Amino acid sequence: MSEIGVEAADGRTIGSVEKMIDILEAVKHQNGAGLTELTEILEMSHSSIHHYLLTLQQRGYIVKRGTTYDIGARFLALGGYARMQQNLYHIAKEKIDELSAATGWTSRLVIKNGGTGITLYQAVPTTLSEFQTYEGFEEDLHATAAGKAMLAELPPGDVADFLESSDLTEHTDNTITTPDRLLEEFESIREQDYAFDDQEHFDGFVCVSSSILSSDGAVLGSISVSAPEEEVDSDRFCSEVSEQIQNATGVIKITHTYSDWNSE
Amino acid sequence: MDQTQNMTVGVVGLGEIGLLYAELAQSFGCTVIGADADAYQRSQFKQQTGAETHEDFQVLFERDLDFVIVCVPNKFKEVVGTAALDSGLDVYFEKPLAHNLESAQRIVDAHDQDSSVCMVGYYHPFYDPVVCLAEYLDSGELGDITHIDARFTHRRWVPNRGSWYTSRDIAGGGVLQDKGSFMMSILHYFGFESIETVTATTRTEFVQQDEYVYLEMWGGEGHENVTDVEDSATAFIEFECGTTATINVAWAVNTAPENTYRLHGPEGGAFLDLREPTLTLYRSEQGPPDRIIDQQIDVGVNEQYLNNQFLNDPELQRDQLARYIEHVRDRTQPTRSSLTDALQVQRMVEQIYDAANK
Repeated sequence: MSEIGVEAADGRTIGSVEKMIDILEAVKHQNGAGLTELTEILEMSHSSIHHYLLTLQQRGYIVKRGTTYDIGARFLALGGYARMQQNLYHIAKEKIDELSAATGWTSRLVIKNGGTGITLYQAVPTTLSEFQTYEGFEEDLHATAAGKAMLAELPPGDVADFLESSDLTEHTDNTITTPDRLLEEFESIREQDYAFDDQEHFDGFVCVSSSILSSDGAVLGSISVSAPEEEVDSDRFCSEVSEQIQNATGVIKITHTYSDWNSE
Repeated sequence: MDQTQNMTVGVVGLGEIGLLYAELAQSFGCTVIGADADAYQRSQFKQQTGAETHEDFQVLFERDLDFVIVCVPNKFKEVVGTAALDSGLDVYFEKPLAHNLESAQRIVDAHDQDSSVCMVGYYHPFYDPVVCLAEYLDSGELGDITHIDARFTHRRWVPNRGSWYTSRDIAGGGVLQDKGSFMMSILHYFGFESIETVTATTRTEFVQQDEYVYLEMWGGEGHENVTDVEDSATAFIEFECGTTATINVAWAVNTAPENTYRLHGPEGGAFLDLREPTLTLYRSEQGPPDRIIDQQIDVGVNEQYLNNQFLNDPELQRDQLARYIEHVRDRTQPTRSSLTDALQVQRMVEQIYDAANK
């Protein structure tokens, strides 16, 4: 938690808030969990965890089904609001829909939040019934096209910080898990203006992505399009879809530059 | 130009065109203040012109300005232009007026003729060879024109490829919006403006090529990697008056470049070549003896135009801007390249796009 956490003004964080977040994230990680399960995972007492969960349940942030605690829908109220506050969401939403309609594949808008990527919006064609990601989905930056596209455009110092703090988890056999290979990957991404995910996060799925930069070069986010590996020719998928993605990211960049003007 | 020396001009949109107009205005003795949301454009502009700049155009509009030049990307012309018009400022718009007809219409709707003197940067109606041909047409000595063959084709002239110039969303189109609008402004000036029917096609052949081969690129390579517009178009138009026209326009095409207008009438014809520039009239006279007359008209063309291959020469913009400043000083609305003229040009361009998209 501390990697993303902003420390309080006096340099310390509040322990009980940290504990509460640990509990929430454990519940999410376990896809819902019972009290005994949580006690085993977290280094906290049974009764302490129970009090936290009860408090959260009373406020609508935790729901209980039988003996299983799960994340409450009230978090969506905060999440939906958090998204509304993102200028990029408003600028890019239509482009994500267009991309999905034009390509026939799932298109996502991803932003970098500390050390991970968060899906701000996604469009899934009606022909695809289900997909692994959802709005709010959190991903390891090194393991997806969307994440790599953003990392490739960060200042060298930020990249070094990321490589140092991330454990570069292996999600599939193809996940790039060494800093050296990632740095090479970033260089080729900068060269070709898009990133490719060759089943590096999900077996059977390939993605292509380009970052969205502000006019002064800051990374705002990225757009990715994902498809089942067996249904596409990777080379054609890359060349054709990456062009469509770049047409979208370019327009978003320009619109973002002038977005203050537009809202007047 | 004496009275322009104390004029203060606000330039909104500080790219290549903004820089061009700023330098022209400075050459007239005007003080220039710029505005752009893009910090890089602001710093480049400041470096080149020495002018003060603002990030927010609203802050610029609060300054004591004599008029405003709007040369932001087409899609943002409406937000900037209508704000300027609402502030009662005089506004000179770089062409095209907007990225589409609806947006252009809203700009025209915001224009109060009594408070703002407005013009749009279609400079050909101020260009001597074009003016001269228009006079021959008006005089009726060529008869009612039956057909116009207009060609504005470049070998390789995709401007600022990858920037907003090659974005359908932001520019509203490619070469038809960029160069085709110039052609429509000339036809409109000649009196051909109401399209009855149009058949058209647009092509995207060069602009998306990874290995796009060119010798020179106006504005340099863009940084946004957007290339989703047409780079050539062909249209067959029938005007309400019965005149037909073929339009060929290209940023890039593998044939000889042209910037020509051939007009056929029963009493005579005309050939206007804007690359040279030359104006030739074709007539016949009954004898005896009968005669066929090909007559080259030398128009009072400034030497500076003669080496100007693509007619992007600032001299044409300079002449038009000087005219505009006269209108601002005299508080009169221009009769050429007015907002309503530009709106009709926008409509003609959109009609061609609509036909191509059918």
